Amino acid sequence: MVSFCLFFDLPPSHLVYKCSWVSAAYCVDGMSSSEALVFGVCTVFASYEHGGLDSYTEVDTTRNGTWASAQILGRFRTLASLRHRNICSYVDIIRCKHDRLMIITEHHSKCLLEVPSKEFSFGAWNSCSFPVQLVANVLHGLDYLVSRQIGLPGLTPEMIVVDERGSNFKIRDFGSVYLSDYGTLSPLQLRDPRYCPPEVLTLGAETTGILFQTAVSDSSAVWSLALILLSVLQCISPSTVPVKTWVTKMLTTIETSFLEALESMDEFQKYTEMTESVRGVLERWLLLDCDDRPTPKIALETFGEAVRHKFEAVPEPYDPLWGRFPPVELRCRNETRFDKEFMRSPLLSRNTDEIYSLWKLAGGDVVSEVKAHGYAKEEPPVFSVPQIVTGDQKMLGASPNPHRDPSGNLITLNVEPLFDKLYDVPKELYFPLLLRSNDAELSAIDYSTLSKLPLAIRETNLKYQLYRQILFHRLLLCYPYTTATIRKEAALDIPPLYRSRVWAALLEVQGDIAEKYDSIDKDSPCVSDRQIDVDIPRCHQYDAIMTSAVAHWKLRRILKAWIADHPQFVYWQGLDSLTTPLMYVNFHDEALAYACLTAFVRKYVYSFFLKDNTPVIQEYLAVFSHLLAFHDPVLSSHLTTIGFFPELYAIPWFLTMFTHVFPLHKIFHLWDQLLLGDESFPLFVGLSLLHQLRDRLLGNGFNEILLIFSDFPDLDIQLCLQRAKEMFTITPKSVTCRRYASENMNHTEPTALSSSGNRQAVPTGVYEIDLETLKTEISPRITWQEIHWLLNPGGGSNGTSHKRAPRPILVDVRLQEEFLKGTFPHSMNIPFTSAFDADGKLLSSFESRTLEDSKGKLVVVLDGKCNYSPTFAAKLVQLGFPHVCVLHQGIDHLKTSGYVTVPNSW
Amino acid sequence: MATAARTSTGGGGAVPSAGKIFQFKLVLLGEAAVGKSSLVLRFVKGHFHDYQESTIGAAFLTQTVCLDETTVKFEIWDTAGQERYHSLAPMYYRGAQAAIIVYDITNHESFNKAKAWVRELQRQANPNIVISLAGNKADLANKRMVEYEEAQSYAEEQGLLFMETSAKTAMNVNDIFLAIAKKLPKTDPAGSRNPGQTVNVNTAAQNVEAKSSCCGGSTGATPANAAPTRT
Repeated sequence: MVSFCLFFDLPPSHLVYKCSWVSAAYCVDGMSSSEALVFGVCTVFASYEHGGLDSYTEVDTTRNGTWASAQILGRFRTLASLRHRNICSYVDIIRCKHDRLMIITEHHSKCLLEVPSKEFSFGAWNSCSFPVQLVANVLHGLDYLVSRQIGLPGLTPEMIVVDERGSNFKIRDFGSVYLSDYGTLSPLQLRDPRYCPPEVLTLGAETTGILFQTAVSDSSAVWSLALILLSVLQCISPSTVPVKTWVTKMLTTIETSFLEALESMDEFQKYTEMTESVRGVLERWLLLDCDDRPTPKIALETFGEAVRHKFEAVPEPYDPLWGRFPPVELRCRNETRFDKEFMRSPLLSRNTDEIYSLWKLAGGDVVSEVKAHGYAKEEPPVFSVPQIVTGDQKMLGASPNPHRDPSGNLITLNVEPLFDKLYDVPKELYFPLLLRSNDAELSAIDYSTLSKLPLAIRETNLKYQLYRQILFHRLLLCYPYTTATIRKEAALDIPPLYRSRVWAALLEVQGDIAEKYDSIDKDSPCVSDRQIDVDIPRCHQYDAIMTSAVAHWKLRRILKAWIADHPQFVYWQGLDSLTTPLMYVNFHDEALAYACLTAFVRKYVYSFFLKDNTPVIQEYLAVFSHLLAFHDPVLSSHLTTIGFFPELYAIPWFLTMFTHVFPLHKIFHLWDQLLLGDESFPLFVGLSLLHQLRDRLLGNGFNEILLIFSDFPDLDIQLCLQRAKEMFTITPKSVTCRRYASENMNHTEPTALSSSGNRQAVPTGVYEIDLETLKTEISPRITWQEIHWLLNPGGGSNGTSHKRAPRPILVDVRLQEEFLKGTFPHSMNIPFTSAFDADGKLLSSFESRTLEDSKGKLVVVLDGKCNYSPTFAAKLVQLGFPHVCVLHQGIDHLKTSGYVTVPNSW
Repeated sequence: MATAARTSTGGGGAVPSAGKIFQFKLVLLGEAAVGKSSLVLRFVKGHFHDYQESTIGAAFLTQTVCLDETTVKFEIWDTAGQERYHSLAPMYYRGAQAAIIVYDITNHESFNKAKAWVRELQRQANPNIVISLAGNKADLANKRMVEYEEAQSYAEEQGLLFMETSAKTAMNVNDIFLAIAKKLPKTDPAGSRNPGQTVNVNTAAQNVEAKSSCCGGSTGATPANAAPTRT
């Protein structure tokens, strides 16, 4: 945008073609090119330019092209979240070798200059007149950009395009200055300086960074728009005037408004045909001082008055991919219409991001497309060696910049494969049924075969993703009424494109989250500031986006907001790591990331961030140990024998919900499932990690095992989750009861994970055990309510659809005379005093043989008041019995309850 | 201290055929982001990352150094630096025969925190513990906030080993571990164990005896030293 000083003597065409734009257009099968869907690809080279006058006072060697390209990645995510009908969306960014970045945007091939001039006439303007539409559309777009704090130092006619219907103007390429951080991260592209407002023009081409940024005002682009309007109305024709003449005239003759200076120009006669009121408006838009010029919002009002029309912002159609969850009335407005266009190509009714993601799945590859057109070619490094080096060190004959393309030409991306491949998809697929009887398929196509394939295949299968995206799009449109269906479908998989919203739905985020977030003070200093500041630059730094300043800034704000809004909690190292996945998937929406964090912490790591979290963590780890004994008594005994306790290795697992253990791409898949489980599910993920390492753990001693955990092996997440789900499903609910679990969490809550459904709606009851007891016991406790339920499945008011859970083996370890006075139905009696021999083996008896034969089934050890049952259970664990638990509180207090009967009455 | 330690990477696989083997538990303590993990990583793996991720709870690594006659195997406990994790620290330094207290020479507050750690170890850790003080980030000498002399005189006063180190440039990293290895007592009967036999000096109750005999700490055999246990 800033070009000028150096290039004043060049012909104008140089200025336009100097920028390395590669535009791409394609026609949709069966459609005329005017209706084509288009993506543009633009190349940016990252290179850090030390501004000299900016805030970095000393030269920092870590700030190089690679650093700059990471910064651009971060900034791009902000641009990509902008959606408005009067701007061209940014869709994707690809980081290539040699600090090259390819930026993919929505693109319309018809720019303002190609609109026939006869369309722009004076006459009687009304709201449908082309010039009025141009001004209104562009001002709407500019106002949106101002509201999203994207600085724009000016417009050129090339930056305004017309959509395929020819009725809507859009601003394109508005983000390159923002993306380059005002020229510090990549060289600014050259633009025609004749449309630049004076405050930008006087800076000169060399000014970058903060100086440039502060010069740009909200009303800078309004100046350009005024000139563009005059230019399309043929009052002026800047492109025929040499740049130098134009700029000299502008900078020397202007006193208050540029309009006066223009009046002296030859071509300007037509200007008088304009109405007085419009002239008055334009005069203000061309005021020298940007502070006197109106902002886009005010400009829109005054222009509206001049043409006697009130311009109102058209509400953006709600798209669950970008919008928050607005009130239902707002969502109902944009029910998809069955119009002619849809029937011709239903794919085109999908949003840009879906189409782009599908295009990639159909084999689309931006880099190879660009290369196929002769760009981004890599030359052998030898070409950069000079052929002649003269005596005064001058080097001649070297390829000046072997990796940089000289300039861009128009190319065509080949996207036909996408439309070809989806040609036979029935139109019903675009309207999946959401309300249906239990077994009916959601889709018109049977995806049951595909849904059994590994996740990696499903995520790359074009038709499957199309179906899943459409389905989730619709489900999210109807959230929260579809929460149950979202859970059910997410249990299968979550389409990566919709992960952010699906996670939010699984966490049941609702309400005015933006207002809540905005109301929190994120700036005041707090005691944890220093710790946060040293932790953030070290958090998930293997990921390029996480190294960007934008990511650091967002993470810091979200963390500070959480701390400020939760005075009962404090910042523990690890919270940064935990917040990262939520921030990452919600990069475009801090408020949503924050709402998700709040819900996530409340559900899974409640109280972990108390100032004194020792009892919370200890309880959690004790329950974890119990579960290990419950599911893998052999491994549990081994680890206990060598003194390898969860305190040594599992704190980072649970405190950070595995974000400190795995890289982000694995965490996404892990959390996809984690969010479906209840608050106890992470414990099972932990068990499953141990299970995957089982052989290595059993064969090694303390030091070797510690080393295995220090350098955590690359584990198969899907396998791990599969195993975790299996264990989760067969574990009685009350076994994982925790005192410090979030309120309401110990009560029954449907989870989408269990296949048999026996963890759903189980009346389990809750209990509290003191920490000391919890830590000394080996096996977990189970409540009598749950035993009663297990003995009488389906007996309550619950539906009968639950699969019959296997009947537990009840072992009453009291003396026989007490046993005979009354116990749980179907218990067997193995008195504690005569159960084991000196080596801890079970003494043979009819009952002990029955117990041995039932090894693997759920075994509940019970006595009067839990005096002997925990020890008895521990001995069973020593003997390798899995699924052993202890009846909480014993049976004595149930004597009068009616649940206890005399054995010979069975 | 100019000789670099001969080190072998990994979990103690490289055991020399001659000489006695001693195993010692070493713990790193110090304020957050002073470079504890970086020092260990440089010592054990020869790596350095500008943005080493923070440590939650603790991390564990081992490294073997060869002295003239003997081989010393360090089992290194690298702890979380944030003050809040302090309550976990006793679990990790209990039973340690050596400690490196790390501070950042560009941050005076971290030096104060280091002094607090020294006091705590002198009060609560194994009485024979060999404590050393490492002024890390010596490559950032132009931003120095803790003078070498100040730290050195403090170290002398307290009888600590002292070096300024740089995990980034590897300056003094091997040297400080080597110095500790030399200073650790190796005169007890356990030192005459057969080569190749490793002794778990760490944790489990059944190893307490072995530990006390290995490290020569007469007080080492108390159950308190048998942690980390679920107490």
